[in-house]
Amino acid sequence: MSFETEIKDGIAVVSVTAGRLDANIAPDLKMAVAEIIDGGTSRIMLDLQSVQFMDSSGLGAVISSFKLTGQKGDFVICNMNEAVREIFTLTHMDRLFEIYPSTDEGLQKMCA
Amino acid sequence: MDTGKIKLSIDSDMRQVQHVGEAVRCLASHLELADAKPSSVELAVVEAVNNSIEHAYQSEAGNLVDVAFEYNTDCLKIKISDYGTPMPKSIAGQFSSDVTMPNTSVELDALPESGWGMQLLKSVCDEVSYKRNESRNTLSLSFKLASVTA
Repeated sequence: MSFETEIKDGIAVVSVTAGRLDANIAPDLKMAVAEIIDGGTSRIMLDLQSVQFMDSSGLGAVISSFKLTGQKGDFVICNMNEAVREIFTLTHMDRLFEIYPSTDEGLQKMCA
Repeated sequence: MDTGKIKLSIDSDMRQVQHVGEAVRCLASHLELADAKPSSVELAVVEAVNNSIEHAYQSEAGNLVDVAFEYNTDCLKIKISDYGTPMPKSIAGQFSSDVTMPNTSVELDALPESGWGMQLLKSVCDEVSYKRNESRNTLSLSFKLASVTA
């Protein structure tokens, strides 16, 4: 299993448990998020605490997940390490995504 | 560690890419890179190998991808070679121009989900070039070492 999902205050916290969010598991992330949305939850927090490495396929899967939540949904990311953050910075995706340093901080903002 | 050469070969199977990535990061962490971080070198090589597997070999396993490292006191050079379909000129031609990330100031639905790999690669490398020689495609990446800027 590369992902674990927990519902907290109506928010699906999707934790990537694999150390690498790359071309091998990117399709699985898209599928996991699609299933959550099909299940009626459109508020999603992606927890990247365990992810040590991400490539452009992983970034594509995150963007796809963001798009799936749509304009009415919420999609935030938390717990990025330095290497993962660099990819968001280089692609300017750090300007588009709401990024929080911890799950608690992200949940606090989403529930405010 | 003044000079050295290391060669790795993997099958064109995405599950093999992680091993090359980890080996590259380990090697890069022993060198004094001028600007890049070991994780950036790993990112560049993973993107290059992914490109060989996905585009040169159309994601078909059973083909060869070679990764050759060479470093001296000035720089680390990494050559990624495959024997598949040549890189389209529209992509190979981008290596001589500035980095242009896909447009992010668009509606959510129009946000690109692909097309980031080669631009990310260019962003983290000091030099990138592509060469087709007979049946061999080679993408060469170069990273300056700290001694150059000292």
